[in-house]
Amino acid sequence: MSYLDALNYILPEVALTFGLCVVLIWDLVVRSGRRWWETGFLTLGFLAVTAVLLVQRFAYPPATVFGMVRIDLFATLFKLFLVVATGFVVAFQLADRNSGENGRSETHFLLLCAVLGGFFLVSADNFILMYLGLETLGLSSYALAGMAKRSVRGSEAALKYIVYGALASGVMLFGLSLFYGMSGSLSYGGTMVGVSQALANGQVAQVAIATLMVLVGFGFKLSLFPFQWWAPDVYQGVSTPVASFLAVGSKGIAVAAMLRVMATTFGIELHADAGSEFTSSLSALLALLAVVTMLFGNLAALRQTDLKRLLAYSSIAHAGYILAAMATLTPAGFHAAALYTLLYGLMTLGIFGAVLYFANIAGHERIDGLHGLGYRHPIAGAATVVFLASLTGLPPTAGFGGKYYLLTALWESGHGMLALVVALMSVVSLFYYFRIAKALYLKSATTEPKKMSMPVLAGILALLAIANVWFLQFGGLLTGVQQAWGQLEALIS
Amino acid sequence: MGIQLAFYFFAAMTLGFALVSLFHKNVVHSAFSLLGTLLGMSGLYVTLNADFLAMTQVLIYAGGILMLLLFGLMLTKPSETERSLKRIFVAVILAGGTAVLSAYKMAGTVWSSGDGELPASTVKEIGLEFLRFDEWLIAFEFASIVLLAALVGAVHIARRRFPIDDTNALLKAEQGGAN
Repeated sequence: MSYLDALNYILPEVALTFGLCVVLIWDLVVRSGRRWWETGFLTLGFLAVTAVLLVQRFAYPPATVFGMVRIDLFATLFKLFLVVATGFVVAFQLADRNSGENGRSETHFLLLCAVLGGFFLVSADNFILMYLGLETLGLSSYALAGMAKRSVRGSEAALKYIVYGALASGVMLFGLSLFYGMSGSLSYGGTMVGVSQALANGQVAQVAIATLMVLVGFGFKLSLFPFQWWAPDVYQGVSTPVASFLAVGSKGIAVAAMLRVMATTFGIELHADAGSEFTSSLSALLALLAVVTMLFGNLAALRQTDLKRLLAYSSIAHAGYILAAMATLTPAGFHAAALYTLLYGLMTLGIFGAVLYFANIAGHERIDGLHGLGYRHPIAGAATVVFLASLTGLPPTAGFGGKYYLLTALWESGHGMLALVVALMSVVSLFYYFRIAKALYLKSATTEPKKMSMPVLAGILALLAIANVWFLQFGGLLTGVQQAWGQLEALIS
Repeated sequence: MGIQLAFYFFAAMTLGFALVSLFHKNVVHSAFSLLGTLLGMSGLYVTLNADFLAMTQVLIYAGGILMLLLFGLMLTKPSETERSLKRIFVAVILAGGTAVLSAYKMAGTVWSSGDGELPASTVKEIGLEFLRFDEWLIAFEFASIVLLAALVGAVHIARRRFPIDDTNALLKAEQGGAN
């Protein structure tokens, strides 16, 4: 493939890089930081261009370009997810009235950097590029978390985030170097061969240690159980749009990258007819982590009074559901994890938008700020109820569809206990999600709330609510995911 | 002969500065003498024909890791109980265990010296490899975005917007915002 052909394949990345340079220079030279909404609209424009280019890339045959960038349906699908999610995040940020104006244009630049990092993270076919992508996403996220430095709580959260993050990525890098030592190759395919040889030679302990260390890096990004401590503080400390990016964009793309790494580095083991000892213990470990993560997230969420803290625990719980589907190590389970991640993004963006809407009115983000606002703001109130139903997994919403498919995948692969825990935890989640609905509709406000109308934000919420109902028929999306997975696996055989 | 002399010189330098950094009373001096150890090691690499490794050793360890260490020392309060007997005991066990384990492993490993002559210099080959577009070019270029993002984030976070003695006002503003 010639240089220009290869460049054509990564045109979305090129457009994004161009965009982030323009945003940075515009902010620095043209406007000197004032009128930050201009860079906001500029960012939205570049994201739209990238989205269009990505949609065109759906028609391209899968290929590995530049020696290490894998462009296939799976990567493009999740890139599109990330771009759309970030578009909503930027829109939320333009509508945010609670955070100060400082650093808003830097936020746009850093969001674009994080998106570019996510692109290479999910597209990488080589551990070096994957690590660079992860670090770009991570460093931009730390800086985004540090934006709220006027508040003591925000600074503390940012510091916690960066220290945990540095530790996790260091451990992961060590694990990757162990894989390199085993296989002598940094590409996923080469590592796959090396891992399978090492397992055949009985070096199970070495592979297990390396796998665990790599899992730490992903576990941090996904906020899985022993690595979830940063999430509540960071979500509470940062502004709502940034929190929504961490919960949806960063987490979603990390799930996708983890799926790709698992499917390729353990490809030979996963495709062996008789499951080896290694895969069965990996499956058991992931299942255990998933159960603990689900229990922790859901039970800790029950007692929260701060909306964003509650959503942080809820996003930990959802990471647990996704991991439960991955723990099956079957194609159906991987499909379910990918599908659930996409649908999770839809509902979580919605609920964060709703939090932003009501926090703009109340001036703070505690649940009691919502009292009596449901009837005064019928569109946002109704949309919130839809998002909550979707998060719980009640029909007729996308959350129900996603959870239904996830439970089926768990049940059919013989993980009945795991399915039971997911179902039970969904019932538990009903209690804390519907405390929000109760505050909106059944409590009356003690003081007269501020009169405020936000038609654009209400429109966005309505759009997301409609999407949440629309994607109850997830069939089309599922076919896309299955096709994408087929392309990804075609690489292995 | 000259190479051998240089090897022993750098080995002595590495060990000597390591001893200084162990036994010096002032912890900042200890950290600085680590610089001598790291430079000595890079000298060892040069005598062993690993010029690229020598340079990365200077760049990453002497330039990066040591700076990080110094920042860590300067930003944290020294603790009075730092050199208690108990901690030294634990450190001796951990370090001794690691040393014994690595010595045992090193003695048990069959070292292969590779085949053919060692190349005189590898820097040019490595550099060319970075610039070939179907090899490492994209990772090389993408690293600049990583640095750009880190730089912008760091500058933004480090930029001071409050007068330096106004931390109380900052706390008050936070509490006021919470009420």
